[in-house]
Amino acid sequence: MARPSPLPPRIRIGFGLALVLVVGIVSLTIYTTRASIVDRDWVSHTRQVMIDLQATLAGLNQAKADASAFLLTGDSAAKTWYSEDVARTRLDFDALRDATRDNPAQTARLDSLAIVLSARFAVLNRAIVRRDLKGAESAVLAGVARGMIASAYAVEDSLLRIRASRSEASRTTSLFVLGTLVVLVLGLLVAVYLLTARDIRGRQALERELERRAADLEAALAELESFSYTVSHDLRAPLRAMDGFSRALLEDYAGQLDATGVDYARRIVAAAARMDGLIQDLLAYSRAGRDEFTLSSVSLDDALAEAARQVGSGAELVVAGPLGMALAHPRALVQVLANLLSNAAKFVAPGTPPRVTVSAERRDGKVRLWVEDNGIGIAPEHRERVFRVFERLHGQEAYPGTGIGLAIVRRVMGRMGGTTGVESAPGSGSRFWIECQEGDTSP
Amino acid sequence: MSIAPRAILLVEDDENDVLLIQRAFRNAKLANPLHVVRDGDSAVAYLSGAGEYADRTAHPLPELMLLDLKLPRKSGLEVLAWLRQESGIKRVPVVVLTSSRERRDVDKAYELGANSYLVKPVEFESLLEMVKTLGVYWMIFNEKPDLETG
Repeated sequence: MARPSPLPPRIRIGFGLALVLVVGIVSLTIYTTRASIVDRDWVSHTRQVMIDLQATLAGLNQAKADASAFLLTGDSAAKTWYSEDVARTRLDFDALRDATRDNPAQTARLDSLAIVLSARFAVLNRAIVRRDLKGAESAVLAGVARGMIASAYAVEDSLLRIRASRSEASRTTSLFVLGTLVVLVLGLLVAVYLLTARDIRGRQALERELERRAADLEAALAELESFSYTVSHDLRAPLRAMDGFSRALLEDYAGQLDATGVDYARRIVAAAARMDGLIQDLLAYSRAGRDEFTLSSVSLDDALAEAARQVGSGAELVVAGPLGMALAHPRALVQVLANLLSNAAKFVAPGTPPRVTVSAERRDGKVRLWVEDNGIGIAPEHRERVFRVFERLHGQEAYPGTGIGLAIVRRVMGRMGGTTGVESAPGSGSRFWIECQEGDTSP
Repeated sequence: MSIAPRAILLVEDDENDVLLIQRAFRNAKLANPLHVVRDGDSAVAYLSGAGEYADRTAHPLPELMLLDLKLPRKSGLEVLAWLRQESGIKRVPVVVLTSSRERRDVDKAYELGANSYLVKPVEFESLLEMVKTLGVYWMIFNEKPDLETG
């Protein structure tokens, strides 16, 4: 499973761009280096062609000089030199032709030059054989050969200039692009650094804020605890007095009270009892939000039996058991079930004997307990309301209660990592459910 | 040992509660004399027989103490802690009778050596039921400790 990155999108994009740019710089450097090697090869190739051209020209002149020397002096050494000159010049010329095969114009030019050279050497050879000094002269052929070599040289010279300047230009361009990319990467890294620093500062501030709030919350919780302590202790004492002394009036002074007096005293007793119920439920709800619930494997069957014993309602209880095990806090689970049972038994139409059916459903390591009643049901728009504190759908006269039982169910289940819900329709009963992790089923 | 009904000490600061408990004792027909003190310091004075409580005929050592927790001056838990350290009287059975159902109060009371913990009910009928049971259990069935030695 991929874990989400802890970095905000902007920083991730910054790092990604920097990475792409670095890869670009590396690729461009490799490409440029290769291109500049190719350029340099072409430049040195062109220089070689120019050297070969000069060597051919020099060979041609030397051959003429040596031939003339032989014809003048009759020195056989000069004749030998002449032969060597011709051979060397042919070799140089062959190398030259090999080197210019890539250039059709030069090839054509050198093809012509080959003919001229051969003709020139033929003239010299004939002059040596005939020992005819004058016959060695051939101003036209020599001039043509020189002219051809000069024009080939000029072509190569211009090629050299073009190639050298192109190589220079591509080097300048790639240096510029590389420089720009490096500047961009540096800029990006600086930006990403600043963003990261700001992000960390933000998180640190958030952390301090969280710590402060946690401290505030703890203080508020402590205050709440002492408040509920006060409520449980002090608020109930006057109620005891109201109830106790009204009863004392009813019992000890019955003879002196008329029917109205008795009714009033009874109303005080009833009001005190109701107030006490409210306080008790509110404390239970508050406790459900504060108590630590250590979870263990609890038998749902045992918990249900205990809850049914505590509720002791006259409802018929049908258990589609065994219900299995739940991962829960035993006492809290019993309280949840007791609240669900008393709720299920309470809301029946007048004259209907209450009947509660409990069943369990296991799925994906969770267990869902259904508590189904034959009550008056809940309209869809009120389904979530029943889980709120002091929310009541019915008047005190029809169905007495404080409206906190199901709120406790939801809160306790939430504290134990579980969920709650209800399926219902008016007139067809309600199916409340609680769901939590399944407990260890091995005995 | 006297054969007179054994004394019970009620430590309770709420005047209404005192009246109601006394009425419950009357209605339950408990013959045990109920001695009342209103705060923690007085409870300590009564138990140690100091000052105005020096006369053990008028203020006999109780065989059962009903102790509220929230009291002026010394709290009920402080009185309990003190009592359990006192040689001679440390065995007096103590029943906490309070309005607090808070877990920490219940647990602390037992830790300090309370023998029982009762929450005052709001309805008088329940209080009467509780006092009757209390009388039967602590005054009749329960075996008393020796308070003279130890």
